[in-house]
Amino acid sequence: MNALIDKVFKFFHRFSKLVKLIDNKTTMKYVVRSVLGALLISLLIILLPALAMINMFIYTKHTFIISIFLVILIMGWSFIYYYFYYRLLKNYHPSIREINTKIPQLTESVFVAIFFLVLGIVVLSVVF
Amino acid sequence: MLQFIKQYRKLLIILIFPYIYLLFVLVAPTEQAVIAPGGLTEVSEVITIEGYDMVDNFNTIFVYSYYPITPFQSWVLATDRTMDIYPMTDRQKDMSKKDEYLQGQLSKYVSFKTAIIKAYELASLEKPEIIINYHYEGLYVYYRPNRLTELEIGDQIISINGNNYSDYTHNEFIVLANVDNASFLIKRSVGDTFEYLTVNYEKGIDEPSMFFYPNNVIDTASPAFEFPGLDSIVGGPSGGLLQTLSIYVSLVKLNIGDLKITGTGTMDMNGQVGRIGGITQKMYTAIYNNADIFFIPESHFSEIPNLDYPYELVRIETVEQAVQWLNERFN
Repeated sequence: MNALIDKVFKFFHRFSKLVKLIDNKTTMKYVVRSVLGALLISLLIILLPALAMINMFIYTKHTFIISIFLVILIMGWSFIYYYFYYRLLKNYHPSIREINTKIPQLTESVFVAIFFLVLGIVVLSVVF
Repeated sequence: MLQFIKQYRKLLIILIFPYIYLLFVLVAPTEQAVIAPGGLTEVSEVITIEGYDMVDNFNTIFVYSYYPITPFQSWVLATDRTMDIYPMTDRQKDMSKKDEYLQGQLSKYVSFKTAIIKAYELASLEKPEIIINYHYEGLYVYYRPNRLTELEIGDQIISINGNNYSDYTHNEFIVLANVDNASFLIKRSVGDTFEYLTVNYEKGIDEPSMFFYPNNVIDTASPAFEFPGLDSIVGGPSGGLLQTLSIYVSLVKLNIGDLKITGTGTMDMNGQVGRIGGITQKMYTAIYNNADIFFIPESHFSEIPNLDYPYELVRIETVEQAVQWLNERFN
């Protein structure tokens, strides 16, 4: 148990160090551009499958399962968003290409995905 | 960002056309509508009667109606025989979503009132202590062309070209209303008060005709009743028959065991059971919900699809026939 807690602490320590390192090497201007760019690209990617699922709500017998798929899709969106965010950030700041962005990318994606999961559970339990 | 786009320029150019095409297929409206199976609503949840336990056997059926559907939905649903795709009617094309909702709520309210009146009248034949008094008070506007912004769905028409409702029966008054030119005196409910206004109507070329519902006002009723179902978003008139039967059975305390009874059909003040939309979808909904008995308007019987339904199908033309069938079966 202690070993596991130690691992988690070490992981988050590494994560926060990497985030600080990236923050130090990036400017607000390009962070904003990366955020907007990543939002645009990820929304364009997710738009078609999301619309297809929304269209399928016409199958009223399956609305619950379609809603679950929609929540999973929105959770998946966070991974796509952070992937493109760091991709664009590396384009704007070649100096961070050497930094391991996989850890902040996946950690932040997981946080946002968990947030959407909780939100999805709350909304689904209210609606159904 | 531009650098990123340049990096994948070829791929983006290749993908942009199918992307736009798919987007179009998923969002563009067609001129088609669809009726899909829905669910059951227990009548005991929407109508309550003071001093009586409403039986929980009777269920009205609601179906979903969507329009306009997208090309994607049209393709997917074309292979599904539980759905009915049809070209949108002129009235549907002319109506907003708000109009559609208001129509559903209005027709539900009229259906509830008609069900109460008919059920009380039928039950009073067996239990004279059951009393209902009502009077006719003109028409409700159910459909009006969208261009007539001064007229709202749910407005009450109390006079047509100077002819007051009090001098006519409903059948006579509706003949006066179904003309190409008319001046309507409108009574509109605004909060706790009413406002009166005159609206001149002239039917446009190729325009759908206006559509009305009777406004019967219940003066006194014993036992008293309430309509908690008015708060629900489910609307429409097709539950009239089942609502009437449920109230009647509850008032005369007919024991029908634990059978799940459902069905469809509108009710008018003469007890005639009228036609409804989406009979196939309603039959499928009853199958999905394990109904035991299904009341169907006689006029729909020849239209029922070729499907294995596990329930007993009862064909009726009037509410009196349905009541007689229940009494013969369960008394």
